[in-house]
Amino acid sequence: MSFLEQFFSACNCRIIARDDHSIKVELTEEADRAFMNRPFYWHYKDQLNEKGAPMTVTFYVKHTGQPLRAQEEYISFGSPRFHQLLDYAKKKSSFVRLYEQCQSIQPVKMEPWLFVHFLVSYEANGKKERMESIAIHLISGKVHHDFLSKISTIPFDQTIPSLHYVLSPFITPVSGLKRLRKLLENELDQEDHEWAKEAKKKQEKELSLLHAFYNGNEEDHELYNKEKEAIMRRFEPVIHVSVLNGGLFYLSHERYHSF
Amino acid sequence: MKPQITFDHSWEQQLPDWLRSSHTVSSWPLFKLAIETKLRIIPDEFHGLLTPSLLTSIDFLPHQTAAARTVMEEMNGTAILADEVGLGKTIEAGLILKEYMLRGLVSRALILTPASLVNQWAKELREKCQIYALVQKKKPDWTWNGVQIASIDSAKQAKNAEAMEGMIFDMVIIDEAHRLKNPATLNYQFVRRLNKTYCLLLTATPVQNNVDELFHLVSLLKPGHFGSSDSFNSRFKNGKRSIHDQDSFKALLQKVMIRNRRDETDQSPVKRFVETIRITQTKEEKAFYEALIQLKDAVPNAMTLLTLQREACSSKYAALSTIQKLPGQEREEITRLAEAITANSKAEETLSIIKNHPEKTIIFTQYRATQRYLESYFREHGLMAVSFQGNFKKGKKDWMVELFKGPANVLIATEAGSEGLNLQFCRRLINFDLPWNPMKLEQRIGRIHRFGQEQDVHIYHLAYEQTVEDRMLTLLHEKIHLFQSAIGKLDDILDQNWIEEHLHDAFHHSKSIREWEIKVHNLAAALE
Repeated sequence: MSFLEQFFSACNCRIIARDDHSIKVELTEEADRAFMNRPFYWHYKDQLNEKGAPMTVTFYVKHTGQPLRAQEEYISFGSPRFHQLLDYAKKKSSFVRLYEQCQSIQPVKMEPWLFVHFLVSYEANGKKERMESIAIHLISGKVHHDFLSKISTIPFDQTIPSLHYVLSPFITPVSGLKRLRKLLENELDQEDHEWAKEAKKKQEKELSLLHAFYNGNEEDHELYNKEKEAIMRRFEPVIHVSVLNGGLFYLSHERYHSF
Repeated sequence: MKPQITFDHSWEQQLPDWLRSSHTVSSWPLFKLAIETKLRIIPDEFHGLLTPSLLTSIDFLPHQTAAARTVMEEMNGTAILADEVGLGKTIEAGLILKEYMLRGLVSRALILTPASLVNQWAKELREKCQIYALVQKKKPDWTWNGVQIASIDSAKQAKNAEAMEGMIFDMVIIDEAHRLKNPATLNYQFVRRLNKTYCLLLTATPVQNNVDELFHLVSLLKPGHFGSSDSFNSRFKNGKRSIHDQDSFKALLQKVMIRNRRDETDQSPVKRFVETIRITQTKEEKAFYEALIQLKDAVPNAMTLLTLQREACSSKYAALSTIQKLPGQEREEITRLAEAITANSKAEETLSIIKNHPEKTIIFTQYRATQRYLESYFREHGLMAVSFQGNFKKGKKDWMVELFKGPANVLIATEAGSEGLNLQFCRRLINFDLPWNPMKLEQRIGRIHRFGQEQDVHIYHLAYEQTVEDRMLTLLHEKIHLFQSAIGKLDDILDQNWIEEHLHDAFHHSKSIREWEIKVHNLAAALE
């Protein structure tokens, strides 16, 4: 519920009504195009050069016991609609440029940070993931972990407030990112990789069973290779790192010293 | 050992473009929301399940979540799910598939089922697990990068098998996998050649005839788990049906197979009431039946006599084709007696049960002739009944079930084709006649007494007094618990065939009903 409310207000959709189990939202044109799956309608309006009328939709998080009417739907955590909204949020926030909003009548010196969310996936005969929220100060090169929780209560906006001025970075964002990546790589190297060892052991065992089954039988060579590849895929330990989102954050000089 | 680390560079590659453009649209709340929400759904441990907390619309039963965890944590996504009929194997498989999808380990999946179950799978996955699968029909598109369902018979056709040759499926699920017990069949070879990372085989009857079937099924899933064919034979096989070194065999089997049994998992308050109704034959029915017993010398062997008597216990129509094979004189005599029968007392009893309990009722018979007779009999009495047969096309089957859900109160089914039929909305079942194999009886009952049934179920066995049926009922079906408890345990999964073969042998090779009774008695005694 709070996800829906935050999501739609973050997308500038007007929330018309809400209670504990439902929320009624007037979509923006952009949101309608992204979610309501009616390309023909929008194509038609575009051709006529007319303004379309975005839909108003009511989302229920709990079954009402009554059949749904038009422009009503159920949504739950993990449902395809939910994932669609989440993917949209992720895509829209891939890269941001945000300025801290200080209430100040004095000129404020703003310093640039590159702030990135890495998703680290440990994959073998199973999978776990964690998020690495790190930022690098693009002047000093100082790195902070768990950055989101440090700044989450600070107000930010896309525009720079008056009287504020920004310092140029010494480190370019691109090389800042490279440094963060290198750092993360080193940390991952230092980790305990017991899970990978276990997976490797299992993989070897399965491979030897497979080998005994085919017993060097040449005509089954192709099948043997298929099975072997499947075992490799199933157990091969690997760590994938990708970036969920990130951006340039400008924080006041005072903020830097308070961390 | 250090795992390989791979970086996805796509964000890095776009970064310069983003930096050049002076304007970005995204807001701080959306940035935070994307991360905070993602954090709530990522798998932060290798073990445990994410699905139950995300799919709140369905309550998974403990044995289902336990099975899913075992498959994921111990079996590495390759397993035989061999729960007894009606415990929700489909949901179990759906739960496992969903879990792998949520963890991002599976996106491309292929589900192969008998043609009649394709739509049902799609519906269950959609409604229970919120998995929206593509049903592959006449013009399949195997490049689809999501979950797809196809009938195994169409998928294995040469043009489809060729198209799939170079493709990898993250997960392959095969329903009714006991059809894959023979490595010489096209089914088996097709599945064997599929490139599959994870694989689930679903069957309630992993072994039907002999131990080799289990070897082949396991070797399809995990070649080498039971060793090579030769080493399996010398290490475990002891004749066709039994096993040397049972302990290590079971230990190995348990590593790839999960079998939940109804009596271990049934926590639902749904009770099963079984009522046996012994019916007195009318004078005409009795004369007809007695005349058959006198035929002893006219029929080629005792087996036909037994068959004939059982047919006669269902309806005179069921016996007609066998009667046609009799020598001339006897044939005329019997036909005359058959014509004298004007009322079928079983049909009357059935009608009165339905009249007393006006609700959805399913009737099972072994004979098509009886099925047709009942349909017209009910119609005469103003009851709408629909028939269900194994050879109906998929669409017709679906339609019959829809009719039964809707206007028709009675469904008359023959054995064949009832597999996979889910009739949880019905709670009354009449066995118009009885199969010789008690397992078949359990399969019939499994249509309504299954996962999803919310009310107590009522079962009626109909049998004519002092007939072969009466004796079968006494012997077989009143000992059904004995057979059931012997069958179905993972431990005794091999003995299951032994029992079934015995029953089959007793039925098909006994020279008299007496001999048959003795054989079954001996079997029962051995089990006790």
